[in-house]
Amino acid sequence: MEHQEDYTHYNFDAKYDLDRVPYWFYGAGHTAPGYPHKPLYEWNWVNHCNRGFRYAADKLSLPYSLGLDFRSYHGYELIRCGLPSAEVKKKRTEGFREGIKPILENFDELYRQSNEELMGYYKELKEIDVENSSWFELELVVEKLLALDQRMWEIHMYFNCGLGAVYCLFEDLCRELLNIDDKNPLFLKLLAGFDNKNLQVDKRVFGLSKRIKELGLVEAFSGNEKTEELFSKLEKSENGRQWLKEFKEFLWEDGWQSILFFEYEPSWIEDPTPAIITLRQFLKYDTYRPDEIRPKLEIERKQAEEEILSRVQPDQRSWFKILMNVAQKYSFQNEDHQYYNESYCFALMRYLLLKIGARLVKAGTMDQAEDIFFLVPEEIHKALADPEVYRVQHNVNNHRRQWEENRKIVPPPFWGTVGIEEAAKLLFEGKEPLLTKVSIGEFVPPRPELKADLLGLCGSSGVAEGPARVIMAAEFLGEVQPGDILVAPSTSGPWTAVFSLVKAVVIDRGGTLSHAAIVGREYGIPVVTNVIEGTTKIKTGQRIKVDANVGAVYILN
Amino acid sequence: MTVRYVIPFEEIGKDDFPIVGKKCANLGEMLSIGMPVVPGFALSVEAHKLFMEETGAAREIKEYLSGFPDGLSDLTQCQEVSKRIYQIIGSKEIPPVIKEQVRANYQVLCRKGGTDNLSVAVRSAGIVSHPGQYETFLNIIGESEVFDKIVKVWSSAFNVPSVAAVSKEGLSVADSPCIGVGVLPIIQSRAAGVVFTAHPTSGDRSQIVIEGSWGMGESVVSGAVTPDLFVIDKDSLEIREKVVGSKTVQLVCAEQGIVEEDVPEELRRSLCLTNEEVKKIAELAMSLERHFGMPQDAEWAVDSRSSFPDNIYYMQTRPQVAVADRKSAADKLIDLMLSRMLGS
Repeated sequence: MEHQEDYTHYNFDAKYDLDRVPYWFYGAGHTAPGYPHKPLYEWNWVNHCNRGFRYAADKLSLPYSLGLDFRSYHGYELIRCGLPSAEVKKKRTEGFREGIKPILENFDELYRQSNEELMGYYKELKEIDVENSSWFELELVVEKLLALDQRMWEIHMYFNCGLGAVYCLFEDLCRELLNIDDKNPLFLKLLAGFDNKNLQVDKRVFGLSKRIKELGLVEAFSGNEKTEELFSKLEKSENGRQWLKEFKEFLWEDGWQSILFFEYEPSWIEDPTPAIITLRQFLKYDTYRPDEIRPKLEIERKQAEEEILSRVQPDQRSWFKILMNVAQKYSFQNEDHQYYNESYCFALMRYLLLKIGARLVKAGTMDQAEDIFFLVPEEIHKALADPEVYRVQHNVNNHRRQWEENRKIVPPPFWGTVGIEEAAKLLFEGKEPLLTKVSIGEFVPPRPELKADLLGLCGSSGVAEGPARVIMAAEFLGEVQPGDILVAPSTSGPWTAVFSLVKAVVIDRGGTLSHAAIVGREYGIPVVTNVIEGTTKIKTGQRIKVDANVGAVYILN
Repeated sequence: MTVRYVIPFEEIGKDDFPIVGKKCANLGEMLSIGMPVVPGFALSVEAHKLFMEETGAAREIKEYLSGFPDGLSDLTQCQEVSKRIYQIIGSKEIPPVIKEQVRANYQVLCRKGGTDNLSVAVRSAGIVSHPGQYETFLNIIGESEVFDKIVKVWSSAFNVPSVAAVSKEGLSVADSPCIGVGVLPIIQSRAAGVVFTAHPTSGDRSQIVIEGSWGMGESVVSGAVTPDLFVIDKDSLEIREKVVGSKTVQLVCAEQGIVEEDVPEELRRSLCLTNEEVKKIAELAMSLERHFGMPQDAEWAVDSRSSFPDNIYYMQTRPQVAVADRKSAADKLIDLMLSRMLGS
């Protein structure tokens, strides 16, 4: 194995890591070829995210899983799921009742408290005056950010694993008692009609577009100039300044939207262009109608709940209903948590780290503020110890050179001492719903009778036909036209607004509880997930037909 | 050191329920977190015990029950036993040490209320919550009346349901649990009722449901009227639903005690709460739920003699019963999960 520079001690070493562990899968969903993590993100990821899993598995006393664990392969993620020994399994089984109970009895309140806890940290950190802090105070800020990242992952995984366990029981029972699975339209209706934080942010952006009209500023937005030019144009009029004031207030509250969740990428705070693109779309096309669609979805959901309950034996109804209600929250939480967890946390980390980076540049410790993302925490502390004297540019350079090399690597999909099928079985034995329901998605069974060009899973039911629009990254969302069918690798929080514009969505990777599926249901449009080769097979402008009910996509020309 | 048989609510917290009963412990806790609660005082469970021992009531009851060596066989027998125990307890005087402490505390309340004869409520407080099982007396004026009602609350530990429950367990009725008593100034309420921080039928935790009617809250609690119904969204505090109840009767204060009156026609058709009152009640209920960490079933009243927002009072709170169902459902669901895990 060739040398890889140590960002962390979690670097993959085939000799030792495959000694007693039979497999490691390459997690292409988080680190696509060409996009390995940079050192700081990598360090936080392998130290905190997997510990979040272990925290959840231990707190919930899960008998079937120790949580996902990671190794870093040249900045790319390798994953496996730890399975408990017989002895641990026995202990965990004894503790499971008390471990899972709070989720069943008190989810809403626990979730509210956790979000409040995180928002408390964010509020405190947002107000830190980096420019006027002492170097030592900045060391403490760095430690606070690391602790925040750890806590965020703990909360994230606790709810994910806890609700996931409940959701899986519900899905199993629906299959056994009612003969419907989670791609059944009736089942999917149960998961829609819940407001979540990303939908609320979308609504606030729409509100800001209405303010543009009220203040007579539509003309200013009609061009395509860059955000800074638009802002300096708005600064010239009183109404323009008023709108900017409202927009900036909005950003300071809800602009902590990370575009990518797998790196510290600019949020709307740093570059509000994605929000401006959405605003221009709202002004140009009158397609946003959540107030018409959402109440309808809520009614449909209630009808579906009644329908499901009426099919359950009367003496089973009382506990089945509680099971259903908690399981429904899994879908809601999968979308809602992104705002409070990854999005806000990473945006805030980037915001503060860049400011610390700028201080280090000023002190002559390194060359660019962004270099801080090429340092691991120890190196940041080393720099902050005496920035006027120390230099860490050589650390940055080494890491950057290594990272550039890593970008050229295409990791093998799998490392193992067993076959890939056996390894997949072992991975899914951990019943980790994040893999099956959200990021990777379930296996799509072949259905040659449909004669479909692409086959996936039903994320949101319905049928639609229209021109395809292949979008590979959020920065290109401005190209989407009303009536398009969006085809993308996957979607996340900042993509939400585009769902009010398109007729249907097709994504390469994701399950029934992926962002695209959840938001598609809330906007009442068909979504097919997990087609794997959507963005490679479909070209922008091609007419396609989406029959989400059976998970089929047809290329018509 | 004198044993404290009487303790002001200000000195009580929720963990003191074995000492003063659930209701008093919760009232003390509510007071300590700044909820609008009328400050009163509690007679401890020890006070009830002392009364039973010192007056010989316990011994007399035991002797009487020895006439039923095989326990109580049916409801008629339970009624008979309960009636006799009421007579025994009713014939006893409260021991002077308790009387003195009650007197001193009642006088403090009177002074605060600016009157010599303050009207109070005398409420039962079991160690285990049994809503509605024991007696409560409203609009009680003057020291001797208060003493009389305290004894009546104590005897209600031996009312028919309690006697029946204890003998069904195979226990001796003589060992019936002693209970606490709460004494607090009465609120002349314009409207009163209950609030649930989870929807009582659907269990939806995102909604608050308020039921209210004219006069004192007991008419809502007992189900004597069809109350007004308000459904409030927790996140936005928006009122989602308002349903006017028929509210045919109301309970109002008489000279001593309370009486039922017809509600005038025009009031029956109007809501008993304003929007701002509804929201205030909901807000307070949410802080109760947050504090106790689970859905609450609480009683509130709107004082006719003060104005918004100082007119809203909370009379008691307890975990919402639906949560108990939820608890057993949770156990059932965990059984299912476990059997699947072990089966696979």
